[in-house]
Amino acid sequence: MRPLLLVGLVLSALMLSSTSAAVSAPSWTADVGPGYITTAPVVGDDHVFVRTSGFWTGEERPEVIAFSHDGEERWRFVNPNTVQHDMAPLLMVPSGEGPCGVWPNMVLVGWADGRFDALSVDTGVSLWNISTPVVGWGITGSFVIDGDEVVFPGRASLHRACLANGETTLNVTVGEGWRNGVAQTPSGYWLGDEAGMLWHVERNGSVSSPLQFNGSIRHAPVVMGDHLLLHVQQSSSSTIQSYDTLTSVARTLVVSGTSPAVPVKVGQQAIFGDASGLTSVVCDANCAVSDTYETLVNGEMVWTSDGTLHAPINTPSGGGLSVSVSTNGNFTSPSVFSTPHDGYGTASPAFGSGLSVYGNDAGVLMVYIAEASTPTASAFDAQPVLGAVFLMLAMTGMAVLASKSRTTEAWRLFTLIVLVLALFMLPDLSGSWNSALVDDEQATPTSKWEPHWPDAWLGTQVVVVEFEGETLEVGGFVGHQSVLALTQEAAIEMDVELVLESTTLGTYLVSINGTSGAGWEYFVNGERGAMAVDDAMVETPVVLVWRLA
Amino acid sequence: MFMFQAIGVHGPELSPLGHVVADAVLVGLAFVLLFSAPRPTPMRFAGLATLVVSVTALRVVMQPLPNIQPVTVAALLVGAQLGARRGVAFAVLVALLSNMLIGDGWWTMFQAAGWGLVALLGSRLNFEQHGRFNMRLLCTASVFAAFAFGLVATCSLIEPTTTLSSFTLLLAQGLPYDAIHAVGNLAFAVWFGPAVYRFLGGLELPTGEEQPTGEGHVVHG
Repeated sequence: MRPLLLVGLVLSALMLSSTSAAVSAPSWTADVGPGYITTAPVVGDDHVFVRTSGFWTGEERPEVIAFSHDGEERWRFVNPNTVQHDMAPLLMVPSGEGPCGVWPNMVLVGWADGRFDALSVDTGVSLWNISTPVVGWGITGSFVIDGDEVVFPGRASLHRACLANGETTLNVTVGEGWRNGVAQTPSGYWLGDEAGMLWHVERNGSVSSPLQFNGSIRHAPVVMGDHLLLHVQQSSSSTIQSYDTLTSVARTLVVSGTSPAVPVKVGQQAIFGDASGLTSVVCDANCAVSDTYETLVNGEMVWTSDGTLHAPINTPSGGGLSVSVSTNGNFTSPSVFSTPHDGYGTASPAFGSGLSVYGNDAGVLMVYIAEASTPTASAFDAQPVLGAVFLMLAMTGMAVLASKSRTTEAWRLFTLIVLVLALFMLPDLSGSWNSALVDDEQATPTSKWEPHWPDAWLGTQVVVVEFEGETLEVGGFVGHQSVLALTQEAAIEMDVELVLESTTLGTYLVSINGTSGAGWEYFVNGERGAMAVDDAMVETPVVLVWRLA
Repeated sequence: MFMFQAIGVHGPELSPLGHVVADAVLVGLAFVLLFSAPRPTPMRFAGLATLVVSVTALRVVMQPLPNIQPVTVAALLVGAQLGARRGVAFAVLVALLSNMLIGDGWWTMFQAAGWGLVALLGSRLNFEQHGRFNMRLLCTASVFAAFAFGLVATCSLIEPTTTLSSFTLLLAQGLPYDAIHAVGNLAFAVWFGPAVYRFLGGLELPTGEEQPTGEGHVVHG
C-alpha cells in the first residue's frame, strides 16, 4: 500500500507541474468587449490604438479606442452605422506634407459600412472622411501609402485619396473582395478578390485583370521584385502561388492547409500561415518554399526586427506563437507566450515604444511594458500560488498520515485531491479531446451551395433554418467563428427568436421562433455537428443548416 | 459538450404518455424485483428505503459536478450485500426518483439499466474475505463500473441512422467524462465504501429465511 501511495504523491506532483502554466501577467488590460479585437492594435509614440468588431447584440457598435501607454483611455470613436464586420487594419500615418497639402498625425480607419476616416491621433476627431460603395459590406482590406496619398480597397472598388484633405484622386471598379488588401509596385496597385481574380490598377486608373486563380485572395499580394506571392484559399485547402508580373505566369509553390492567414514579408522572405502551420518562402531569382512549422495560424502575423515571427494561435487555449526565422527561412526556437486571457484570436500583437500589445476574440487588450522587470502588485495573479500551496499542504498531509501507518486516511486525502484536480482539468481536457476527435474524424467538409442563392453570398457564411413547411435562408456573413455567434446574427437578420440554455456541457439551442420539436441539430457544410454550439467553430465560407431532429 | 445539440437533449423526446408509460414500467419493475426477493422486515425495508432516498438526494446535490455519480458505488455495494434483485431495484428507484428532480426522459431507462448492470456486477463479487473488507476489489470494481455505465448510458443516443463508427465516436467523446466518473467512484469507495457495506450488512437476510410477520414487535428481554 505504501509504495502505491508514494506513486500517488509523485503523480500529484506531476499534475501540479502540468497544470501550472507559465502565464505572463500584463502591465495593464482593458476590456473593450463584447466585441472582438480582430486586427492588430497600433502602438504610437504616446498612444495605443485598438479597434473592435462583431457586436452582435445590444446597441454597441464597433469603435476605435485610444489609450495612453499607461492604460488611460484618451478618446473613443464610434461608427454607429457600420455593419459589424470591421476588421480592416488600422494605419497610423505620421504628419507630413505633399503636393496636395499638409496633414497631422493621423490614424486611418476603414469601416465595413464603406466609410473611410482619417482620425486625429490626439483627439480622435474625424479630420476627413470618404464614403465608398457597399455591396453587402464595405472596407475590410488593408491600405498603402503612396506618396502623399492613401490607397484603400472598397468591397468592389479601389480608391486613392489625398492625406491632407481626403480629396479622391482614384475611384475604379474591381471584383468583390473580402480582406482584399492593396499592394503597390512601380507599375501600380495590386489586389485580389473573392473569385480569385488578381487585379492590376495603374496609377492613371487603367484597370486590368491579368489572371484568375482557383479560389479566393484575401490579403494584399506580397511584392517580391517582379513577383507577387499569393496565398489562395480554396474550400478545403490553399495554394501558395508565385505570379510573375512581367510574363503574367503563375506557379504553384505548395499546396497547404485551410483558412490562410495574412502573410508577412521581410526582405526577400515571406511567411504564410494556415490551419496546417507556417510556410516560409525565400525569393532569389525565383521563389521557393524553404521550411514549414506545424501550428494553427489563421489571422495576422508580425515580424519584429530581431527576426522573430509572432502570431496568435487560433485555438481555445490560444496564446501567442513566437518563432525565430533564419535568413534562409528556417523556423527555430518556437515558443508560446501565454496571457491570462488566452483564447481564440486572429489579431497579431503589436510592438513599439517598449510595449507589447495583445488582443483577442474575447475583446481583452493586454499591454506589457518592457521596462517593468517584475509584475506590479495589482497585476499579480495569486490563484496559481494558492493552488500550489493547497497541493503542497495536501501532499504533506498525505505523507504525514502514511508515515504514521494511517494509510486509509492518506488514501482518502489522495483520492479527494485527485478528484478536485480532475474536475478543474475536465473542461480543457474534454475540449481538447473532442477537438482532436472531431477534427480527425470529420471528412474534408464540402460546401452545400444552392443554385438559387445570390452571388453576393459566394465566399460568405450562409445560414439555413428548416422548419416544417418553411425554410429561412440568409447569407453574406463573414468572420463569425462559432456556430452560436453565426446563428445569433442570422436570427437577427431572419427576425426570429432564439431560446438558448446554458448547461454544464455547453450552450444548447432550445427553440427557434418558439419551435423546439424533438430538438434542433445543426450541420456544418453537410456534416452533423458534434459539439455544443458555443464550442463548434466555423470558417468563412460555410453553410450552416439547422434542422429539427 | 459532445453530441449535445445533435438530437435533442439526449436522445428522442418522449411524449407525456410515453413518460408515464416509461416511469410506470420502471416502478413496476422495481417493486416486482423487491418483492420477489426474500421479504425483509419493516425495519430492514425502511433501511433500504432510507438508502434509496439518501443516495437520490446525494445525486441531486452533486448534479452540478459533471458525471460525479454516487449511485454507482452504492449500486455496487447494494448488489454485493443484498443480492442482484434488490440491487437492481435500488438502481431503478434511484434513477427514477433522482431524474424526476433533475430531468426525466428517454435516458432514464438507460441510466437505470446501467446502474442495474452495476448492481448485477456487485452481486457477483465478494467484498468481505477472511473477515476483512477488500478495498482493492471495491476500487477496481468501481473504476470498471464507471466505464460499463458509460457504455450503457451512451446507448440512449442511438438512433436509426447511427452507424458503428459514429457510435464509437460517441463512446470516445465520452471518455473524459467516464474517466471523471471513475475518479469520483474511487473517492466514494475509499471514503464511504466500508461504512455503507457495514450498514447494508445489517439489512441483509440469510438466504431463504423470512422473518415472521410479528417478529419485529416482540420485546426481547
